[in-house]
Amino acid sequence: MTKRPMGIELIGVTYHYPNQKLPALRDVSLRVSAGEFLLVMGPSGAGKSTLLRCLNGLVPHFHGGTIRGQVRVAGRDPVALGPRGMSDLVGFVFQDPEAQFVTRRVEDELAFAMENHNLPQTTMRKRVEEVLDQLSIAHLRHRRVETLSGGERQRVAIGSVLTLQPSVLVLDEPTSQLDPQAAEEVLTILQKLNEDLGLTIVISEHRLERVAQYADRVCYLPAQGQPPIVGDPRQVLARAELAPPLVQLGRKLGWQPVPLTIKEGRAFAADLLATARPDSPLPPEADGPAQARTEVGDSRIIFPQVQIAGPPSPAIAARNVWYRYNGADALRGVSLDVERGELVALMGRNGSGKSTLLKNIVGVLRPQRGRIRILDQDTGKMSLTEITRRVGFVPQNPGRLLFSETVADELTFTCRAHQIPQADVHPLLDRLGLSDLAQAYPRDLSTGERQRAALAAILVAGPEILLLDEPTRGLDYINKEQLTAILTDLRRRGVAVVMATHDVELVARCADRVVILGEGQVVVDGPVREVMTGSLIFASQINKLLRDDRFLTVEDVLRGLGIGD
Amino acid sequence: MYHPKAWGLWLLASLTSVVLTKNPFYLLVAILAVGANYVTLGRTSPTARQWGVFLRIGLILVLFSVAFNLLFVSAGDTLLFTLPTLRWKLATPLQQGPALIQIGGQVTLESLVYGLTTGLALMGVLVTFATFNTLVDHYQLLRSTPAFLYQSAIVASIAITFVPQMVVAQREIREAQALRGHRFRGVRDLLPLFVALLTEGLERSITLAESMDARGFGGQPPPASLTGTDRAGRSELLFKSIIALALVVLVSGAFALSYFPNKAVGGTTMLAGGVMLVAVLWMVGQTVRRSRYRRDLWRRSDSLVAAASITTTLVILATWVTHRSALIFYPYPRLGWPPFDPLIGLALLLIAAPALAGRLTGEVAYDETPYGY
Repeated sequence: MTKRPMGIELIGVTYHYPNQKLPALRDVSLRVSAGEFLLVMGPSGAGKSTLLRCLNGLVPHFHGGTIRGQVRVAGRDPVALGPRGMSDLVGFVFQDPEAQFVTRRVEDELAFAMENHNLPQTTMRKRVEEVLDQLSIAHLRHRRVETLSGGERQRVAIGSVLTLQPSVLVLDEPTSQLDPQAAEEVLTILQKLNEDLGLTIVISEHRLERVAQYADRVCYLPAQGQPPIVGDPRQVLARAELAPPLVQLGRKLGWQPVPLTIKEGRAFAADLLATARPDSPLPPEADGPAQARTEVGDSRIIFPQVQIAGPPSPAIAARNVWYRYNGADALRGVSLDVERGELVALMGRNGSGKSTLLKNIVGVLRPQRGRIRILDQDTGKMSLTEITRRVGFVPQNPGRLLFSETVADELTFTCRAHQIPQADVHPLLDRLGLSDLAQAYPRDLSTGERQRAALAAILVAGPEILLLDEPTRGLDYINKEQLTAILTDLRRRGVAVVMATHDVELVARCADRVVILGEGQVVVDGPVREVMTGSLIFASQINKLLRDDRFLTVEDVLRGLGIGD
Repeated sequence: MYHPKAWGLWLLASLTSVVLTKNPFYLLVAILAVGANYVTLGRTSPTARQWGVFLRIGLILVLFSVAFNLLFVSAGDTLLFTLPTLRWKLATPLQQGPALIQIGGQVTLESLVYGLTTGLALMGVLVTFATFNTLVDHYQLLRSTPAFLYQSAIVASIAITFVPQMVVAQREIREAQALRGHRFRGVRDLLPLFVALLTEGLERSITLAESMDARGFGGQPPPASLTGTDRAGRSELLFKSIIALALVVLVSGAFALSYFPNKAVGGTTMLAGGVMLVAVLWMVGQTVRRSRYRRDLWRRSDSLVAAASITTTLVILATWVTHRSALIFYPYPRLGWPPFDPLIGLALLLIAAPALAGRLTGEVAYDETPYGY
């Protein structure tokens, strides 16, 4: 069966979700030729997911609402046919690798779509074999999906739509839930599919530093209801507000053409190092890498009740902590000291024990062996209430914390729960960029806003220790910038911050120290510049470019050159 | 693992046993036999953790049932001790005279045994479902369902897998909220938990439904709709109205059955409604054409499990029909030794067949999937 390769065409598409005044998409016109790799980018809430869902008819068929304009994908009309009618042409992969599986076994999952299409058994067998090989997942064929790692799951999810041999593959932030290694796996597969099979790929993604290099063109949605800017990655990235560090540096230093890959940047980097080396000072050590200062200025964020006084003892002192989870040792003798005013990044692949360690510190899990002291008190002798009054914890899915009617209510709720006097919550909301949303329903917020609302609900209690689990999941560059500013400010005010994260760029920008866990043990513990230099996985983009431990971020370079503040 | 149909027969046998017997000995044998399957086959399953949760719920039910009987039932001759009594008189218009509600009073050994037996029966049902859930791949079971039930079956199966996911999510949400200083003291404090749980569950089910739709689940639109006419839409509407009509007939039949003395009228109406429903579902099923990726192999061990399960079902059913009292033990008025018929005991032991059959024929090892194509 041969399909005529035809591209995607959107003409003047405007779409309203049901009962929404503001359109999610306004006047979107876009043409993607067959075999192209298109990156859809933009801040969260700008309509990326909506745009992608137009391509297979999930919008408007699944979500309702009104759509105007014309959509054509490979000659068919998704608005008329709906997702089922498009399913053999457009493969759709979702953000959450857990929620999209129907069956329990990898092989069944691959066959599910073909069974729905009533394909003969011989064809199905052949295609399953092909797809297993294409995605290098043949060894997983009999596995149950719950036992797969995040990267494996996402590859299976891709496989489950490839068996129908679609001509377009649409992926909605497929790597946002994955650790860097797994994300790399998935993106490499996509690039291969695009090159070898000529599959048209449309992907939305926040971490542009990973994908920008593969894209033929970029579709940039600047904000909700604004028409997109479409064009060559270099041109669009050179103008877009969101850009990966390498592009930011290129823009600041006026490199032409703007480099998208480390390789392209090397030529510029060589010149740069030659000019920078002789007189560039080491970055200020006393203050740590306080790069976010450019964003916050020197104005201080007012957090009520935060006052750090007392002897300079470590805020957290964990000694030889062991914890067993589901019959496996999740922590095997972890020792960790965190000073007040220190920001420690906890890194390591999924399942290395990062979350377990955080939960042990905050006391929802209690160490089975070993001891944890926080602020000079043994957590073994403290109740959960006593601990949580001093330690704030923001979980991976911050939405889980939110349950009140309005954002402001969330804050007053925390005050009541901790029995602390209710301060005026508005200065805090203001500094977290939430003042306009004080009366909004928390669950209607975008990912970034939700996360800040959760952060506000925690910070209002004035914790002296703040723990964050994967704080940058689903955040765009602007949200991350805001988060960096908040964390840097907290740190400067003496709060000890520990965050478990995969986000190398975030760590480069605001952490003092990096602790890498591997199989429940501390593998590396050192200053951020030492750990993040010259590593394939843990080095930041700028560091990979310049290979110099003085430079981790754009600001480091600018300071080194005497530009910037 | 075994063929899904063999598992289906096993489920039938286990459920018949725990539902129809009310004898602590038989129930205990049945529960142990069910548990043997989990112990030999299920512990390596990734969903094994649910089993423990179900077991704990079962134990709670047993305790509850015992406590309820001790407090509310004072019948029986063997007095254990006496509690202070609370009494209410309720005016009940439907019955003659006031009903008496009494808490406490005489606590008897008979009510203890009766409560224990009822609790064990509930636990038997739970443990059976838990074991089935752990050992059987729902999707494989689905393949064996007839086409017209397929859509509803898959929805049911997803609902089943959602429960354990929600159990896990529930724990994490509770944890997160407790860390924010939220205490769970009363029922009102549970509201935040439900808000978060519901939103998360909803978000997940939307993704899943989208993912199924995007992969063509529910059949391809007939060629007519590809050309733009809405014949498909009209026939869907027709099917939906017939289903609604069938349900109305079915329900009115059920009403008639319980309110009219003449059972024939209600029975016939219900039957007619049932036939209509099956017919229309069958017709809907005919419009959806699916193929099957593989057929499951039926092996000797499957025959063993099936034979054992059928034997158990038949023995229990036959006893229930011929001399029901042999299965039901009633401790009142004076506790005696519950009867134990070795034949019934043996039949119940056969529930453990899945644990043994594979070993007997040397065929089954867990997680090696003996699929046929």
